[in-house]
Amino acid sequence: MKENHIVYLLERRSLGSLSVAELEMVKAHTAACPECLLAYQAAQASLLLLQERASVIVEPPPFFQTKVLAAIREQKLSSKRLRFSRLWQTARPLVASMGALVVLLLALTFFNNSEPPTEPSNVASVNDSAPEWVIVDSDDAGDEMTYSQALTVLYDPTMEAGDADGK
Amino acid sequence: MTDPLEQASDLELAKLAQETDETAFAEIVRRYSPRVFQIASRFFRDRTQVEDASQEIFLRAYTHLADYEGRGSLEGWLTRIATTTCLNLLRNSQRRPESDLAEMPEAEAEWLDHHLAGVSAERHRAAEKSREAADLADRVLGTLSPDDRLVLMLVDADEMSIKDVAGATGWSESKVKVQAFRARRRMREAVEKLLTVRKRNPSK
Repeated sequence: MKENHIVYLLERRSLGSLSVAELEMVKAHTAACPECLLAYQAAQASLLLLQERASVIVEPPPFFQTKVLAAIREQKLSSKRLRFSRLWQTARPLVASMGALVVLLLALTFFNNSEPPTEPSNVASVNDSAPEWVIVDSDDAGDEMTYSQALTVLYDPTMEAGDADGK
Repeated sequence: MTDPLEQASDLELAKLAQETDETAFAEIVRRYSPRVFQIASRFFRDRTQVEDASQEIFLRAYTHLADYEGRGSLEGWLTRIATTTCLNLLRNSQRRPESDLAEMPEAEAEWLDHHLAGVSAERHRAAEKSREAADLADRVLGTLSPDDRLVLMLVDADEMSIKDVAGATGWSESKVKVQAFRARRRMREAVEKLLTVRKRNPSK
């Protein structure tokens, strides 16, 4: 059966950091305990493997600085592009609606210009043939004004409102 | 004539680089790329992977340069970025299944046999055996979690203090201790399995 103390000692600290006395104790115990011997051998092998692995170091290549600076420039450029695309995505609906509004305004302007201009005299003649409307002054229900009288008042600035009433 | 930037202190370089002086940052890269490559080599074996990881570390350092206030050393600050970046890269990569351990090449099996036969450490460390040991170490470490791997490499292989590892990883000292304890157990158990197989079938 494994002695917990030995295994605990092997796990609590790195084998390389054990004192001479502690190592002697481990060795003395493992001499009589095959299971702990395996654990000790495994701990030894683990430490050796780790040390060998740590000795493998890759040296920086000669133009590493240049590569890093190029990567930084590339990153800056792509972040600018990203910022612009984000801005465009946000502004796109606004730009589209503004464009649609401009098109609508242009269409309305064109449509309005293509209609023949209306003459005031024509309006009057058309209105002459129209049924006689009566304009009622709300202040005085008795005062009535025909449509043609109202037009005269509106288009003849020299005429006083009182004349139109016949006063 | 010597470049004035070569004479500049780390803090001066960091300040210049913060003001988007690319040549100052290039000097930082020149000064600390061996250290960064050393850290990345602990996590990755392949040269391309180490180089890519190192480039990523310096890119992150450049992006977060404004965070460096000059309270600690630039080397310590870069070590922390390097450690966390490599740990994240390792976490994103796939972990090797434990079943892969059984199918080891002849050379690695031989290394274990020599170990069991009690061949001296000097013999173990011979150049030709060194590569096999490193390969075997990668095989075993590949079955462990990235956190276990990190703590074993820093504490046991590099013999860094618990405090320094805590500083490099951003973990608490008690977390480093617990992680190291568990990682040692997992590594030992994995190697124990290999040794048991070799003891049973030494010729295989």
